[in-house]
Amino acid sequence: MSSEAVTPAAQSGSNGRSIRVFLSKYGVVVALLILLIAAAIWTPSFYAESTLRNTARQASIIGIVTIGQFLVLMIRGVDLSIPAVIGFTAVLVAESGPGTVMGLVFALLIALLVGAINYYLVVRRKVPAFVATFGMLVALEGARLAYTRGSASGTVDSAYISIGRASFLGFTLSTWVWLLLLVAAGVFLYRTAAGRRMVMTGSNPEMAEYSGIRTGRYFFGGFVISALLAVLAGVFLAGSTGYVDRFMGAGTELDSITAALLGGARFAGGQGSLVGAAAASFLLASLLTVIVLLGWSPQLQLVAKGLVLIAAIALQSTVRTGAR
Amino acid sequence: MKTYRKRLSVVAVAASVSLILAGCGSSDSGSEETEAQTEETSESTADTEETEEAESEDNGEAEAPATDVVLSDAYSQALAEAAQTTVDTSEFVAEPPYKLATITQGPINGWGTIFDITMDKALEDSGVVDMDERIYAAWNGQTENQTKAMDDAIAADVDGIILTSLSRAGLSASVERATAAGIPVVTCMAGVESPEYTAEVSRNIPSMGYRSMKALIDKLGGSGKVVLLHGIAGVDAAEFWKLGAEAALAEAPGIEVVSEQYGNWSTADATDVMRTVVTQQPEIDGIWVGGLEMGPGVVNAFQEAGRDLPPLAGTNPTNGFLRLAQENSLDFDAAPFPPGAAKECVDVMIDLLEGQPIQKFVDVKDSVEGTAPYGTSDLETWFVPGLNDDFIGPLIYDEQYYADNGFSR
Repeated sequence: MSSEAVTPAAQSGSNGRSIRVFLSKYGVVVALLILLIAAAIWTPSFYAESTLRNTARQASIIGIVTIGQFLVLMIRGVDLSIPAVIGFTAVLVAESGPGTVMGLVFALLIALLVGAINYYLVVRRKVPAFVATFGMLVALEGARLAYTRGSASGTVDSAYISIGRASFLGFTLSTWVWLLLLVAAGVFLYRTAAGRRMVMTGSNPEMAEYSGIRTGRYFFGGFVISALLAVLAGVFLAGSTGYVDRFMGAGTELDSITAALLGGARFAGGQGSLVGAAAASFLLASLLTVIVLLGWSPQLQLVAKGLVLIAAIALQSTVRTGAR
Repeated sequence: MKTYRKRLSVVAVAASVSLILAGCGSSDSGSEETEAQTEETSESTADTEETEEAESEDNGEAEAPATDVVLSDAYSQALAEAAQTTVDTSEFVAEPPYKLATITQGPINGWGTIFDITMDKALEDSGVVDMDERIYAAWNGQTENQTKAMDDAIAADVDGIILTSLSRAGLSASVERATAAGIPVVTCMAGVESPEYTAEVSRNIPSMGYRSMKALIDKLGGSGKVVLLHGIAGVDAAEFWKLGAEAALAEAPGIEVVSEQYGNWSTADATDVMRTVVTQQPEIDGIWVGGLEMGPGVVNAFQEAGRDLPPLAGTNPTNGFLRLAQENSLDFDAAPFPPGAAKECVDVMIDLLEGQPIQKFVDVKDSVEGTAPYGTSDLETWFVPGLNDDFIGPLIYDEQYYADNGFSR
């Protein structure tokens, strides 16, 4: 048999591989489309203007911190300190007097410090990112507790509520900011030399060092940007909710890691799709909305959420295994 | 104060006995005499409710019945039995100053902070507790912290342990070990599954859910569409409140639950789910919230949608919720779960160590003013404008004490 002859079996194998490659890149987008189609059939009210706007708003909060998490995963790290930064930001914003931005300024300074310490511990002291950023999470939560003396609740200043609830062309300001940040991060990573160096730093740090890339600045940048984006998410979350409590930001570290992994990012670094991570952020938010709209019992909601997420990531894993 | 408390305890025990008998009336096992008593008790209960309803109509609002119901779940049944049991404290008598261990939730939130500072002051003011020898340990998110502290307290041979158990199952063995070692354990606002504790000072948690839901049902005239918002799935308090609310709903076939969600006791989560619910449900006649710290989320969602807030009922009203209720003229009913009851726990422990008889279950509703369910008309009484949103009343000590400890607005 000639090696150039194309048999039906080979044709079929080639098609199968193409599908697998497609799904490995865009599996989460396919999962999102399936969910959106299911919503159209079973819960058409999902497409009501206010429901879509609220879902997009939720997705934007997850999405903004996911961009930061994605960049940290890109350089082989992980950032578990995100909820603490969001929580501290929310408290500082809530305690800002009317018309002042001092709370925000302090939050940004704290974020810079948190990012720098995470970088120092992970890169300079070789502490595993999981441990270092978890330690930072605990320390920052403790600092917030000491600062608030257990009283974190309160109404947010109206200026921040205006920011959190502002709408433009049918969507909230946070949604538009998220999309802008996505474009900016995409252009940086895939269209600039610095972005490509960052990807290479994550793919193969030793090779990057040998190539003369100053990898330290990319590690530093990843952690600091993640902390700063957490501040931004905290401002939007506090403003949108209009009220701050001790749970503000809780769970965002897991949501952002889940979204980034669904978007193709890996703990081994240097991989992933920002579009996929964004789709995953929207998938997480849409899932919550659809389940609530379907009126399922609360217990079933948790089971369904878990199963859909497992199915989405299993689809990618199966595809990757099959592609080898 | 103690005399007043004892008198209330007697009333509470008598009420509980009556209610137990009423409960027996629905089973087939009662004797003729019991049945006769049951009928009598049922009639008197009905009379009480009718009287209250008449008064409520005069006031223009519905109110919950004054006495607690005994639900059929194991926890409620055990509490009802404990409320009838007098503990022989003679074996625990000790000489002051007492060496105590207090194992609490810890100051991780407003509730835990108020609990701790109230207990600190109660212990200090008692004048019979050795504060230098006192062992203090906090949960801080891990059951292991409390089990270890229990072991430390047993090893230190303390005179008594006051425990706020954050795991009913997880602390049972520790309590049994302490009891076996001859150390009395007073569980305070959160107990254990084991019956081996010495006394429990708390609220009847399922009944809080029942009474607040019953108040909402009464307010709606027995029919309408309601939304339920729970705390964190699987957490004892959230599930017990839910249990009580469901028991009340089972008695109201005219009420339709149009949506049931978990808000994780988080304003942000509550806001998110309520935004979706409000969009989906054009008609909502009432909302029940298992943990009114989520109240701001409900208010936000309705305000954003430009809709009027329906009557609201729930458990654990915070000062923040009461502030919003005042600002938005909310029509509400609430069943408090007061951290200030820590003082009552200290009082019971001291009574116990002095050898005075105590009840195995002390419902703080009967001994701490401001703990019984209340509604809109009592808002001015229990809202403390000078303290911040995290404060949870009622005030046990003067306002300045709480302001000095981080609760000033």
